[in-house]
Amino acid sequence: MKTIVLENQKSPTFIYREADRCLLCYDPPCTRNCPAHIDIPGFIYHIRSGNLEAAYRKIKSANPFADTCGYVCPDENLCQKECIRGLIDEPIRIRELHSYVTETLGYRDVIEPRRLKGKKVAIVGAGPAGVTAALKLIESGYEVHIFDRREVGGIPIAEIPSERLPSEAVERDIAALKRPGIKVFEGKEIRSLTELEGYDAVLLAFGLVERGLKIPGADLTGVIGPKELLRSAREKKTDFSGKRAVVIGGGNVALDSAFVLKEKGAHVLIAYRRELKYAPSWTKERVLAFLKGVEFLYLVSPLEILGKDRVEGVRFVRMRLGEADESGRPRPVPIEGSEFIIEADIVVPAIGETAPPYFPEVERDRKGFILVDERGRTSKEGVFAAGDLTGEGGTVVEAVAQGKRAAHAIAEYLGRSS
Amino acid sequence: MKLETEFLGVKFENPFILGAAPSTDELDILRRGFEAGWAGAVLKTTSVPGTRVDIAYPMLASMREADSKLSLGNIDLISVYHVDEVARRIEILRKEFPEKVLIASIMGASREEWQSLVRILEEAGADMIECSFSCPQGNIGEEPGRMLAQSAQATELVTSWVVGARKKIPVLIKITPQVTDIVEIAMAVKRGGADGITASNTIPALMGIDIWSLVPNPPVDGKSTYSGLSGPAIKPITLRVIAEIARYTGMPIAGTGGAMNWRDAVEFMLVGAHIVQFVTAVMFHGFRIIDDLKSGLLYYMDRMGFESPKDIVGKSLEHIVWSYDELPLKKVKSRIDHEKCIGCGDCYISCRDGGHMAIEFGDDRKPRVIDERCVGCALCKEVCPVPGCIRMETID
Repeated sequence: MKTIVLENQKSPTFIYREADRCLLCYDPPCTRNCPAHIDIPGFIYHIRSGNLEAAYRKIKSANPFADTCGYVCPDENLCQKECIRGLIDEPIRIRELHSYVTETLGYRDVIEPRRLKGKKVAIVGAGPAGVTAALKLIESGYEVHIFDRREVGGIPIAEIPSERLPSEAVERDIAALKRPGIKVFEGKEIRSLTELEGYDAVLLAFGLVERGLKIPGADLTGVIGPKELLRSAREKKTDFSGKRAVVIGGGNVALDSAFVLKEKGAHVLIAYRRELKYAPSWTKERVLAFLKGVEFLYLVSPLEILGKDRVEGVRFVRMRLGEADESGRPRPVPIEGSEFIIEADIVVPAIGETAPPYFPEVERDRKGFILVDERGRTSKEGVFAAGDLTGEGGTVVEAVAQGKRAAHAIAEYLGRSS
Repeated sequence: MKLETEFLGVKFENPFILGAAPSTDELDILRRGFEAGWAGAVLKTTSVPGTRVDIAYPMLASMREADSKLSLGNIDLISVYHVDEVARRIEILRKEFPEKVLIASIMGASREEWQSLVRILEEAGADMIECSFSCPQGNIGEEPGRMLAQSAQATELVTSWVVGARKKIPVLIKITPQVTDIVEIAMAVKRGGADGITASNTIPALMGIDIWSLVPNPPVDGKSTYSGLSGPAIKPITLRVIAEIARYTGMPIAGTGGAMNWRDAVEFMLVGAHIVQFVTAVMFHGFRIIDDLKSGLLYYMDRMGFESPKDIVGKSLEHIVWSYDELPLKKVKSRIDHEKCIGCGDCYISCRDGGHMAIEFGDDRKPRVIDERCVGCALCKEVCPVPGCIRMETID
């Protein structure tokens, strides 16, 4: 990565100049690296010619969560990563072009429903994967019932800080669900196939649960899971002024948690067990965190959360890097006698998530994620899975891609069995 | 000193002057232009007292793509100042700027008008007279709306009137590129006895239409008209016009029409211009560009070993043949440098759909030329975004 761009550029002058820089490559790497396979040179050419309507249709029909992705897509890691223009000067700022289109046009309905074929699909979980699959299935002529234990919108609506993703963007994305043939059941938790009698196919697309720290003190008051923290952040009254917070972990959820704590007034320290260059979070996010005054402590691992009935501190041990582990990164090894204590009022363990143990009918992998094949099929016929619970991806656009993949497989399955 | 040149017996401190335009219509603006380093100016075209000049505004519209301005169009007319006022200004400027070249531009409607304009302005101290034969209003009465320089007969006649009225100052005729045969007009200028030609002028054009209001640009209260197109878009046309006049008439030429920088000016000179007038470039970027023009020309002359701007004049003419029959016919093939290639595939798409299907695009994202199909047209080279990546090789 040559440059880190921290602020979005939105002036039409910038947008048209940027569109003009695009080389409109043959077999474009940007489109290949976009999990939703948006025809990027295609929509950029539409921007150039002033045909924003067509640009919007190209973007939105490939990615139903286009409004959301316009804010949160990690473009440097996906479409922009192999942008050929970058070999001349700088990669095209694709996400900014994309969001210029979606933000300028607002909501347009691009779904082209087919006549219903008389078959019904149940979707469990109304996040990006589930909603995408619902919209693609209605385009294939299948009726959809979509269930969510909370509200439609999944992580984007509930757990992404609102300064990074305005609710209006997500609401524009999920507005497409309001149409004949799709029924939405909010506040309805489904945990087993036995609750879904009478459906011709089932798509599992619910969210993950936190692993949680397995060290002494993990149940003290003041230990807050990142999901709870991020949800609470969307409520204005949350206030951490003057609190000392330690976030444990090196992923984007750790960074999101740090942003929220900082935003709500806390002094924030992120503790990560490897060197920062091995952290799975995106460089741009880490730079942003650094600029916002978040402190980093690396090559440390928590041993114990201290405190009588509330968190008072964390006992850490220093680590060194050993042999490479199965992820290809060096395994962190504790250094004996290097323990130390950091005082803290809040501890946020952001050390990973797994699928909740619902739907015992389908097989899982070693880490507890639901096993799917390359087309999104689970071990049980007629049951498909998409989104975070497959253990693949983790971004909105990847969930969208899996939703599309599963909808395709479901349509094929239902077409064959008719 | 090295940039000093001479044109029609008049000394220029450098070959760059301001062409007739709104900016050469005001004393204070001209003063700043001279102070900035321009060698001279053609004052905005003037006329005899009583001539009506009703300019409609807005009078400008540009043509642009993304961030770059490709050209400008105007529906301007001649100066609202008549010859008495312009003569007064020339007298003032003559005193304040004895070294600068003051060229008076005139337009008349009869023999008396043309001749009185020349006499008054020569008397006032102008160094040269430039006759605008390319104003749509400047006819001699017989064909309203037609430019003088669109008729060889009228061009010769009016030229002879002007030449007949001057005592000794050189006369330039400013022509239009909008004719069937530019050489025919240039020969008429020569027969009329003029000393040089200003080649050429803006080109009649419709600047574009606001497709939502249906009104063309510039919109003047719901109406518009044809503009004089200037700027980068017309440079290739100006180059052809200068080249043809230089080749067939041998007349000294003041080049104008689309030069935006020193490289453009050098190109004008290479096909026969002695000095170059700038208008649109100044309207876009101001007088300050003179620094770049002067240093750029010096750099060019040093690198090429030219001692004076005059050494540049006409140097490219021998490389222009005047018909397709005279072009060498050799086999040419495209050669793509895979070290430089960035793998965008633009050459592949262009050759596939707009050329000869002579390029293959590999899984390694490298284009390969199929020699048997390549005719050597150079489309691939022209669309390639990487300078020097594709070259055309003559193979026999």
